[in-house]
This record gives sequence, structure tokens and C-alpha cells, in this order.
Amino acid sequence: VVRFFGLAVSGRNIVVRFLLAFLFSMFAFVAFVVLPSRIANLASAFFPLTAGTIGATVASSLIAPSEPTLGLLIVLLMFAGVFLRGTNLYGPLLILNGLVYVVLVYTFFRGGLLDLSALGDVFGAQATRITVTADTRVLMTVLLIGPALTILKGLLLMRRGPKTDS
Amino acid sequence: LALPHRAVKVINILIAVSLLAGAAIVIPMALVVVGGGPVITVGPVISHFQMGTVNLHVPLSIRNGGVLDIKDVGVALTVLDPWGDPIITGSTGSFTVAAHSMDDVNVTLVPNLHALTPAELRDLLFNDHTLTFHASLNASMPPLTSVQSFATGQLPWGAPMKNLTFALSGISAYNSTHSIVTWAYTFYDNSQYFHVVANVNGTVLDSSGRDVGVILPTSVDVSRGHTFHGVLKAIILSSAIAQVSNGHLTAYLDVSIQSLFLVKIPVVLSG
Repeated sequence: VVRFFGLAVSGRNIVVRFLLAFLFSMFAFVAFVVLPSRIANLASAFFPLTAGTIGATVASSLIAPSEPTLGLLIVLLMFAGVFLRGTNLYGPLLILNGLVYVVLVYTFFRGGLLDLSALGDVFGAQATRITVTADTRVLMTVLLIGPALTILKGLLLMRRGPKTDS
Repeated sequence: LALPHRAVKVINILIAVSLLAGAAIVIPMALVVVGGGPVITVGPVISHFQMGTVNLHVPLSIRNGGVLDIKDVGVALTVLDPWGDPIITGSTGSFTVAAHSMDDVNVTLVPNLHALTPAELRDLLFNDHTLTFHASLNASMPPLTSVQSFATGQLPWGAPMKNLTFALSGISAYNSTHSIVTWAYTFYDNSQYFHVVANVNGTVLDSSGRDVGVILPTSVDVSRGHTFHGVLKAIILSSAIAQVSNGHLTAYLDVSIQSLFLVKIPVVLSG
């Protein structure tokens, strides 16, 4: 048994933590890095013919340039969060994780008013400028509750100290 | 330490609930997209000519393959003439496309041909143009999201009477004072939207504006993408016949297309 950032853990426990952290971070990698980078192809597959072209272009513009970087940050924080769960660092990591999620959700929904633009084919007229404005403030707010609670949990854990996380 | 410990437990439960609520919202919305839609299919424009008016119907099929109803769906379309004025407007009104269903609606377009001046009408009749359209589509999944989309594009306009040409084909005596002059005429219906059904009549004036003859009524009926060959006959004062050869006679053809609008077409008659 060794002291690991204020937490007493065995060598086996560290290996299990590493494997779980790796598993969860791979899941996060697929969800926050791979899928967003493939969203145009996915949209093309789901939408038929010309609607697919428009759907793919609109879907591509849905991903802000900063989102892949935020996705990678989430992967790293997911790994660190699982690996360092219950340690002195877990609280700050949760706060950081929650903040990155908040930024990611806010960026994805562009503050709740999505304004997308694409070129497509409408009524057989090619290169038609299509703009889509979506009011997603309610949806965004619902999705921000989880990260906000995560930040709160991180603050409480920092106040409480290590080893007693349930 | 007791308060944070209990609070962390409560927050853990709240986080779990918020994750479930998020999934319960996001998954059905994602299924709307994954379910293959909404997919909008635009059918061919159907035109109804009746009592000097025309209604254009654009059939739309909207398929909602998702698990949520799409509400407040509305489609609107405006077509501008080459000079920037709206000549066709139409909208569907608001309707709901239920989950796992397909709705067929008609966008009824109302042409506003009165906005066109006679010169603009003639221009559209004889020349190809590009028309601008503005289309909008609204939909919502209350209370989570509402979407407004706009499209602006160009539509081709093919001249319904493209390359209208006349060629003198004969002059014969009608009576002691008048002659019958015959012209062969031809044009190509290059319109993408309607075929030309028209009645033609008119008068013939000389270079000083004096009425010297009358065009015998004739009719035109040609399908889209076809060339029409017709014969135009005019009874003209024999004393004015000499002016045919030097191009001093002008026929003012009153062309009534589909009983919708009347275009006066000046044609210099020569041969």
C-alpha cells in the first residue's frame, strides 16, 4: 500500500485504476473526438441524396474549430479523473472537467442560438445559400445542469478532503 | 465533514438524474436525425389555369422518421423577377408532422403578374433569365428547440417564346381594295414551367400610325421544349402593300397566354 496523492492504494488498485481510466478515456475519445470529426460523413449516410449534401454541410459547420481541442482535453481529464478518483487532486479535476464541459456545450450550441450556413441544392438550383438558425437555449440549459453539478461536487470534495468520496 | 459528505451524495444523485434527463432529451432528438429525417421531397409544380387566374401548387412530402413530433412546420416561397420585384409568393401555413409519419402538403403559389410592366412581360416572354427565390422553412420541437432555415438561390427562366421569327410567305388579292399577306412564324418554347397556349390577333399600322389592316385571329398551342410553326395572316389595304417590302408596316399582336395576361407584341413586317 502506498500513499497516492493523499490516498492509500495498493499496487493492484493502481493497475485497475489505470485500466478503467484507459477504458473511459477511449470512450470519451470516440464520443468527443472521433464522432465530431466524422459528423459530415455520418450525416451523408443518414440523409438521402441531395438532402445528404445539405445535411453534411450543415453538420460540418456545427462543429466549431475549437471543439476537437476541447474533446482532447476531455479525454485527458476523463483519464485523470478516473485514475485519480478519491485523491487530493480529484476535486480540482472535477471542477476542471465540469468547466471544460460547460465550455464545450456552450460552444457546440453557440450560446443557445445556433446560426449555421451552408451551400446546397434546393429546387434543383445548385450552390443555394442555406442558413439555419436554431433556438436551443432550453436544450443547452438542460445539458449544462450536469457539468454545473460536477463543478459543485468538485468544490465540496476540495472542502472535505480525500478518501471519503462515495 | 458531515454536511459535505451528505451534500456530495445528493449531488451524485442529481448528476445521475441530470445525465438521464439529458439522455432522455438528446437521444430522441438524435433519433429524429438518425431516423432519416426530417426529409423533404419537392414534387413537380402543378399549374391550374382557371377564369384568367393561375394557381401553382408545389407538392411537398415531409417525412419525420424520428420519435418526436415536429411542430409549427411552415414553408414559404417568394420568387423575384429579374428586376427584383416579387412575382410569385406562397406559403403553407403551420402544421405538425407526427413522429414516424409522412405529411403531404401543397405550397400554393400566387403569381403577381400585374407587377410586371408590358415591357418586362415581353422581356420575360422572349428572353431567358435567372430568377431569384427566397425559401424558408420553420419547425420546432417545443420547448426544447425551434429552427428557422432560409435558402436563397437562382432559378432558370426559359423564354416561352424564344427566337420568334417571321418570314413573308405570300401576298394575294382579297378583294378590290385589300390583300391577304401571309407570314410563316416560328418560336421555341424554352419554358421549364408551362406550355404556351395563346390566342393571337391584332392590327397593322403603317409608319405614320395609320390603321391599314387587321391580323386574322389564330391560336398557338405548343408544349415545353418544342418548336411551334404557325401561319399569320393579315388583311391589309392593297395601297399599303408596297410598304411591306421596305419594313414600314408594324403588326401589333395581342397575344393572350392561357387567358392570364395579354401581351402586345410589336412586329415589324417585312419580306
